[in-house]
Amino acid sequence: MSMRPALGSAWRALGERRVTALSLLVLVLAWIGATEGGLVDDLFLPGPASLWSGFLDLVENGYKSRTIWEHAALSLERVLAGFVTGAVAGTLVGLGMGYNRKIEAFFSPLVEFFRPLPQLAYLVLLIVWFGIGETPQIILLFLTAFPVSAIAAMDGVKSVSVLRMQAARSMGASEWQVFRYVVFPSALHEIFTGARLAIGVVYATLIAAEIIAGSTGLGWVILDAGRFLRSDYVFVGILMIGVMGLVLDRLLLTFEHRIVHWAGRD
Amino acid sequence: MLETGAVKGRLVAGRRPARRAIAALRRRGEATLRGPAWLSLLSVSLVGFAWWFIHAFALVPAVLLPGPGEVLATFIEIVRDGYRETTLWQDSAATLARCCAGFLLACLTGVPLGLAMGYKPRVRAACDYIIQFMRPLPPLSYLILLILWLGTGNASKVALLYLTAFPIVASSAMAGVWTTKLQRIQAARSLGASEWQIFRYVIFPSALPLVFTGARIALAAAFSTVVAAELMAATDGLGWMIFSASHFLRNDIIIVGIVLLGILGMLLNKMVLLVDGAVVHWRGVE
Amino acid sequence: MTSPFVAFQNLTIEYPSKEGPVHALDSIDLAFGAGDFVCIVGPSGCGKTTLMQTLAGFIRPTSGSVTLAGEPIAGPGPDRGVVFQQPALFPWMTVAQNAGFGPMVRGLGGERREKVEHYLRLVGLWDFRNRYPYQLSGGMQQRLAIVRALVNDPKVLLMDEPFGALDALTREKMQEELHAVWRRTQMTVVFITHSVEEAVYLGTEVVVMSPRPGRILERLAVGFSRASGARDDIRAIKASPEFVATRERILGLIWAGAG
Repeated sequence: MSMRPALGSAWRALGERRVTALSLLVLVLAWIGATEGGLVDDLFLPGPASLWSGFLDLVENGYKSRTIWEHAALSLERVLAGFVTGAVAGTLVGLGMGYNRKIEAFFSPLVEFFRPLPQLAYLVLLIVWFGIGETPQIILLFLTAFPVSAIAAMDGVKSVSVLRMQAARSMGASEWQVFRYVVFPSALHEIFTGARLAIGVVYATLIAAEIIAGSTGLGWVILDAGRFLRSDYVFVGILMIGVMGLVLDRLLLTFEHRIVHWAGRD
Repeated sequence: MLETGAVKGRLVAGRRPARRAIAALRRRGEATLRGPAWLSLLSVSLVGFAWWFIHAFALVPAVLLPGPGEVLATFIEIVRDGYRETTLWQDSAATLARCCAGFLLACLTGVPLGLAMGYKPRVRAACDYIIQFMRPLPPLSYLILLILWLGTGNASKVALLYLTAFPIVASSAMAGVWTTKLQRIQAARSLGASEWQIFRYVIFPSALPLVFTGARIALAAAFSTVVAAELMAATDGLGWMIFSASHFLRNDIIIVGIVLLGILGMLLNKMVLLVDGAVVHWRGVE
Repeated sequence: MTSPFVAFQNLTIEYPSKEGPVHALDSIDLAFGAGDFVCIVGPSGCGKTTLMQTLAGFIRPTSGSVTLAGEPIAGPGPDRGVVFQQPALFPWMTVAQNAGFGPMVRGLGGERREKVEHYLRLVGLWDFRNRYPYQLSGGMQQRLAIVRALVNDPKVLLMDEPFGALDALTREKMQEELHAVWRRTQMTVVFITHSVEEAVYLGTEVVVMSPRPGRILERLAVGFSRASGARDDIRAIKASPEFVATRERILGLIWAGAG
């Protein structure tokens, strides 16, 4: 009788896993049934067999004179270029904004203007200015990452415990030392959360940019395949985009856990 | 602290990921302006001055960067005559209608599902993996499929916005349920409340702040996606106007469109905030 | 002798944890009558909260039993009002709605208004009935939590360090008020506290517990709470040699028990 709570929760957990498995099974069976049974045209929804052959085809033959890995690498390069520059610049400005009211007052109209703006709207302007190519896309991604990182860093600095700052000052720390040893580490957790948020938005924006005005990259591959009604390629492309996004997020998360090991422990 | 009763077990399951989700949701909260206003004015006027300066001294061809005066004139012209047979009013309405249709449908279905997922672990087990799979997918990537399935009309766009908003709304409602304080449930139970009454009077109001936060984020995401969708395939809407203008190198119209979109986006956000403030008067008191 | 009003019989509570089962309470035998004010004291981790939560019905006994008026406890119920250290009020409801929550969920609309008014007036919250809980001070919030429990006419009031989060002055005032309410209603109260002085002052019975596994070290009948509630008396009582002697004796027990 003493083990009842433990057994109960174990049973519950087992039950939940079973429910997930069941729901997944129903979904997969419905997919197979609908596609292989001929209910849905392969054109609209590829079955498992044609999805697999589409995947192999893309891996072996590539898509339009580039291997699929080259397309993925191009997308990844753009994401990283835009994200790294935007996040670094945004974080620096955000740290300043959180630390000093004057810096905040100066930059906040700009940050607040860019934040709610649909990114794709100014992509059009950037393309007119810089032509189709890498430059407008990377500027777009920079402008996407910048406000997200800036606001996260600012919030992080503002949430620094005043007690810790006072403690450091009372032990003789200079302004710079307070910033370096108290403010910055305290804000790190928020900076990382902001970075993960930013890379998510940057990634979504890049795929959209490639779809609207690209000639390479995974986003363009699915757009082009869609034009030729190759829904197997479209599906494979979407799955690859999803997996790549997930990997990027997990990498940042692992990185964060390594560095900000004290997060949520005070 | 002891595990007490089934509800605690229910609410505790998955509380760690919830905390992270909540932190991320809160991060998009309001930033209020502090500091001297003249500095804000200075930065805005610096940008305005740079714009005027570049234009006035023709550092960049006027086709690429029309001056402030031209943009204003274009704005008045579009307000009066519209753009290529559609009035500005029609374009804005088309964009807003698509955005709101997808968003409202997502709220109507996503909030109840999210609440159920937070409250009943089995519902969560049945649905969560689908939502977690959809969340990181860039919405525009599946627009192509939706166009393939539903055509290029409004159906595919509303479906796209629905799918954009749905996972956000559902997962924040789920996280909202998890923020319910165990002691409130215990207090209600010991005062004689039934399971349903506990849900109605304790769990649901506890979840409301995050439900609204999620709604705000979802609306912003839907708004940004609707513009992208209109760039790709549309015959009206502000996104279409911008895209179409770019073919004619009408950068004045593009800038008008961008500013209008920014203002509309801010207004939508303010609207949700107003409703939120009126309903969730207890936000942030503990 | 008739059967006791509240009785713990051979109560043992274990719960699982990563380091194996934790023995929270070990064969507790404790009984007391209607109208008693039972204070439970002991160091952190002695299981006093667990004991109260078992009576509240939030925790099921691993073995042994808990009965109220002869009936075994099957789960939380409106016959046992609970007050926590944090008031656990509902911030989305007004003060009056919070106070009337019990009758409302039980479908007792008729008697609700009178009772809510009676108790809110008793603790001086009537004028605040249309405010929200977060607009009240900490002491007022805790008064409201007590009212919310009392409006339900519970057979026993369970309080888990209800004044632990209050400042010292508010705390003494709340003790006086609780004392006055108890004298008027002759309610049975189980009161958990860290403060030995609070226990000796309020309780008719003081139960001293030892930590891990929780056991009852000693049970003392004390009579200071039967005195009148006037403030001068309270100061005099708390300074009296008898009070100090009782307090020191209990503190000595706790120190010895904590080892």
